[in-house]
Amino acid sequence: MALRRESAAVMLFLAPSVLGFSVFYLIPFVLGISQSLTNRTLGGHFTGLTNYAELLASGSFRKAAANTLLFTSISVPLLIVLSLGLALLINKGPFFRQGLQTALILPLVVPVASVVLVWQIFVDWNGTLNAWLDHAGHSRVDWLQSGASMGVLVVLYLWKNLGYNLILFLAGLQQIPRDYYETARIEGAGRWHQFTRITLVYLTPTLFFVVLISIINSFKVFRETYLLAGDYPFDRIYILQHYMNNMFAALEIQKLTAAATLMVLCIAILVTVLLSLERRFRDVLD
Amino acid sequence: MIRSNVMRPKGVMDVKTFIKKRTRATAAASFILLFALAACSGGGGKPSQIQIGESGNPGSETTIQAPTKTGKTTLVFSTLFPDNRLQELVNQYEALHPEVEIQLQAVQTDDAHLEAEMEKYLTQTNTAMLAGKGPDLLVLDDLPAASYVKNGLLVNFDELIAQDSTFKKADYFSNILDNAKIGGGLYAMPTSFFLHGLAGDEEALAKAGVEINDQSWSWNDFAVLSQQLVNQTYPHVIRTEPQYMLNWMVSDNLSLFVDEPKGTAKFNTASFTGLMKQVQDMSEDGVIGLEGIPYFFPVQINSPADYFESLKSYLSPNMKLYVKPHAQDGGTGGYFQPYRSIGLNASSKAKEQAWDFVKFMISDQVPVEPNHAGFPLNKQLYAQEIQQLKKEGSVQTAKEGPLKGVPIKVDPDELDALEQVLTGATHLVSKFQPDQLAEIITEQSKAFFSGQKSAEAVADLIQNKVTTYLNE
Repeated sequence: MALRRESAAVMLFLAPSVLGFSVFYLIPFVLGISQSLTNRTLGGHFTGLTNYAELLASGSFRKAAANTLLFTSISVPLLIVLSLGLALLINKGPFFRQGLQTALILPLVVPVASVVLVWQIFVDWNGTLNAWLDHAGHSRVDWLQSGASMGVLVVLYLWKNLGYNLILFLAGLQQIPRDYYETARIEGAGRWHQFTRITLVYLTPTLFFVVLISIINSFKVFRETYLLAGDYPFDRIYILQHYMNNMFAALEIQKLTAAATLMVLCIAILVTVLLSLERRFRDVLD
Repeated sequence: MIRSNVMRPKGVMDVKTFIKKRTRATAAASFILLFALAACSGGGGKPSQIQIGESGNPGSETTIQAPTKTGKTTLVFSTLFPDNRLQELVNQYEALHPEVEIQLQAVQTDDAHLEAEMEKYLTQTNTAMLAGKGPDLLVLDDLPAASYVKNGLLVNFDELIAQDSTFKKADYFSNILDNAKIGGGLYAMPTSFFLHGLAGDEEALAKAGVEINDQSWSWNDFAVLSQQLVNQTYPHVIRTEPQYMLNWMVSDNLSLFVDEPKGTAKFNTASFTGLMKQVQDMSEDGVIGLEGIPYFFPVQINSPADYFESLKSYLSPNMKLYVKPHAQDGGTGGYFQPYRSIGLNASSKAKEQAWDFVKFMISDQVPVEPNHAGFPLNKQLYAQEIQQLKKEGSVQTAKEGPLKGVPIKVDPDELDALEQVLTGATHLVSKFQPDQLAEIITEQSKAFFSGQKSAEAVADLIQNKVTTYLNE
């Protein structure tokens, strides 16, 4: 009885959240999937996987998918390494904590649109960076319209997300009991051993979470890219959301929903793999 | 499980009923929330930003589906910009048909918010149309009508015309009706239109010994001719900027550069960099220029009165309106841009009534002034304007314009020439389909023409972006 009562209460407290999630995410997404299987929004009929076949035949979609994958696989490891390094540094002592922490968290609260303007001036063909290069006697680089554009994006992503990951890592670091280190020191463990055997091991749950959030945030770099380079950027930084955004503008709802479904599928697989890895790790730890 | 054996105190019952009541309340609240959401998405926007023409009632979707208590048919008619002419047409139609109520909705905004409001209007209208809702009638000038047609959201007026024995095609500029088609049908009824052409100095051209067959000339022909003209009577041949000239030249040789079905572009070729350099030469030789008087001005003629003012404004007494050079395989004929194109929503519940109102809008029942923007589609309406022009004998020019308010005499011969151009216009210029290709070329080639990048680097960038666009 108590169990049933408890679960009823749980349902009750969950209801608003479930309702909101359904109305804003789940129901639209299911409707989107059903759209992706038809040929037309209004009065369309079922066409099976035709839209998906068309999507995979589109050179630009494949390019967008490859770029998105490339961006995530470059930027996420880089971000993890950098933010972990900084977190360790800050955790060391008050010398780094003051100032540095605030400076790194600031990008989280600054509105993107205003910062992108500065970035634009910085990396433009006639921008600051090229002026410096010119002064230094080098030839100019078209930062946003060459292979270098992906680099600009990675830097932007690092700048934006470093602070957030830093907070998460610091929280994780502070949860590791000091005694472990003391014991290790007494036993004669060096710094490297302390890092690999204590810090990394006890930080792993945090690490999984941070990786997950970083991957998801790497998909959100579109906003900055779009503001920087518009709807048809150089093809190196043409990512999945560009494709979807352009399809939306052209009212190609079927291609748009098909692309979104595929993307969600990929993210879902990725997340499942990560979570199962984490579970396995936790079992080992216990 | 253990606890269930214990006698339940009385208070617990109360808590349970309380929870039950709470559940009911929550459910009710969430339903209200749901309906509120549905209403938001259906209504197409905040009522405060949409002005309702006549009734003053806030416009909501329910008024379309359910006729009001008096048994009136209600039509919702949506336009981005408030429009006095449309308002007048609505008023007159309602006076003639008391059983019909037309809600003219427009976006009220100021310059500071125009862009944001336009964007909002576009997304809201697109969404409403795709959801099978939206207004019964809408002005399509600033909307992606070609995409609407592709999604089957608009009624083909060709079909309505074919079924309607009262519709006489001869009453209208049939060349406009025939050529304003998008996606193989007349989905956007052009209630009026503008002309695009080149205002050229006929006498100076004759003096240079240049003969122009503007019915069939192409941009390539124009480039050849311009070599004979430059630096004679006038320093320049045409007033424009190189990036636009490049676009015209590309349109003239489109199949060289773009294969749309295959999704391939060939901009990183010697022929494209050659074209860019040719345009650059035209710019350096003075064929293209923004300062000083040229032989040709690109013009948009908005009305019979504007025809006189525009041609005289360019300060040469011998100006003639020439047809713009043609793009590749374009065929003969001039260029027109529909103004106030009306679309009829395929999901409208009152299509017959809406069609009747569209016919009223293009009829000759509500006359217009000769300087009113847009040549009317209706020939009788146009004839009335011409008659009035002739009666007045002159056209008042704008006080702040180059002619400083000095009136221009109306020349009947020139009016005949205008009619020739009007009936010969066969090429549609519109925003119904965004021209990504032209946008990319214009944007990227600027760097070449200003000497910032090499022709090859720009050609590679154009190739890069156009390929992405073509393969989407």
